[in-house]
Amino acid sequence: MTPSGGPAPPADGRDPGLPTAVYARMTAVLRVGLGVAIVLMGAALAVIVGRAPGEASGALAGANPVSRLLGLAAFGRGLASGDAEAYLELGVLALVATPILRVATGTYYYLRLGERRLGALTAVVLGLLLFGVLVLGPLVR
Amino acid sequence: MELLVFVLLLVLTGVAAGFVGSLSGLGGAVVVLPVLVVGFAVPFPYAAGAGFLAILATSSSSGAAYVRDRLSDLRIGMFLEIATVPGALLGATATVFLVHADLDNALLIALGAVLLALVPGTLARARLPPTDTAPPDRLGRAFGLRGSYEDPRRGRVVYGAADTPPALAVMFGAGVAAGMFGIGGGVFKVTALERYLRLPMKVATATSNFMIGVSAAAGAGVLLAAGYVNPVIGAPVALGTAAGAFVGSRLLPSLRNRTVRWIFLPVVVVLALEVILRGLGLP
Repeated sequence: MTPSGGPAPPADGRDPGLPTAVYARMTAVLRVGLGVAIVLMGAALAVIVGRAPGEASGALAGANPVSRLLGLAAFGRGLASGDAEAYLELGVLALVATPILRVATGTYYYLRLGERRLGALTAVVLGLLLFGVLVLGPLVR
Repeated sequence: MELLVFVLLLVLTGVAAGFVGSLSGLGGAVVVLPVLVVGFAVPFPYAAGAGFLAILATSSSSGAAYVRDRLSDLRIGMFLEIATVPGALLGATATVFLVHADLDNALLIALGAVLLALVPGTLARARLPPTDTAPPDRLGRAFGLRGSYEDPRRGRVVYGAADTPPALAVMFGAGVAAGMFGIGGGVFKVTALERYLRLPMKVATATSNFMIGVSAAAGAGVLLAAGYVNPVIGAPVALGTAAGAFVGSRLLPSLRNRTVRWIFLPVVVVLALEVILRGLGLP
């Protein structure tokens, strides 16, 4: 640490607190999250379209056909019963959760490496993201 | 329109948006949003929800490559998210309230205006000379906001976060715009990173891309929980955008960015005007 409380300048000038392994871990989080989301969304969409390819799409554009799955219990029941819409929603959740997991990974490593300031800051960001999904969204629904 | 045709057209829209969005530097959502509103008659909040999913797909896809290559500055990006995330939460919440108040048309007019505002910013950025780097300011020193990267022509370029407070203010504004309209706001973010923090262009672009996913997750989280992310619209768009952006990023080195911009920007202007006309209730 420097006298100002910040981390010491790196020998090569590059991100002082994060070794290459952390960059690799973050890359893996983004790739795996996106991969899971693509597989889930692609498979569920294929099932939904395959069920009734000729169905009129008009109603879909003006409303949310999965709004019945917004509650946790209904969503869980949908997944358990193999409901394609529930798996499509799970794919969307995986896509939204990927950057949130990336922030969580950053928080973990900053705190583990003793970077308390940045660790605390990213923990606040993580808290805000969770607040948005779990509190703010349902509150303004 | 039949469901199969509808979904295929959405995938194709996503592919085209991801492709031109990655080549022009404007991002896929800038194309997706007006096309959904004007071409598919999708109500504004669902179009914004789909825009978020398109951004999340492209940001995770190209963001992973930038992080792997250590071009994204994780330290600076994560530091600035303290401004973009509250902005995005505020913007998305405002959108939900405005939709509940039946002010969708006002949102469309504002979206058209924001899309038009992106155009001069994108053109100006293309003409900017390379940024001179500077040492970090007090806040930058406190959080260790400095780094370096290997430039093929200039060798190792060392940089620091030069002027943090105005950059945080711009990031907050970019977050509000992103959360409100379902766009990435990358033009605003890159401008703040280059102009105020004095980051080199490549680092600024990669760091902005890294940050865009988090502000989109903040906005998407609110709209998703509020019931305004329709996955039957958003998922095909996201799948298409990810594919288009992947192809675009592979072709990017062999194409002239400037040419692509000059072809693409008039299209954005026309789409933005269409959105404004739709908001005004004119045909």
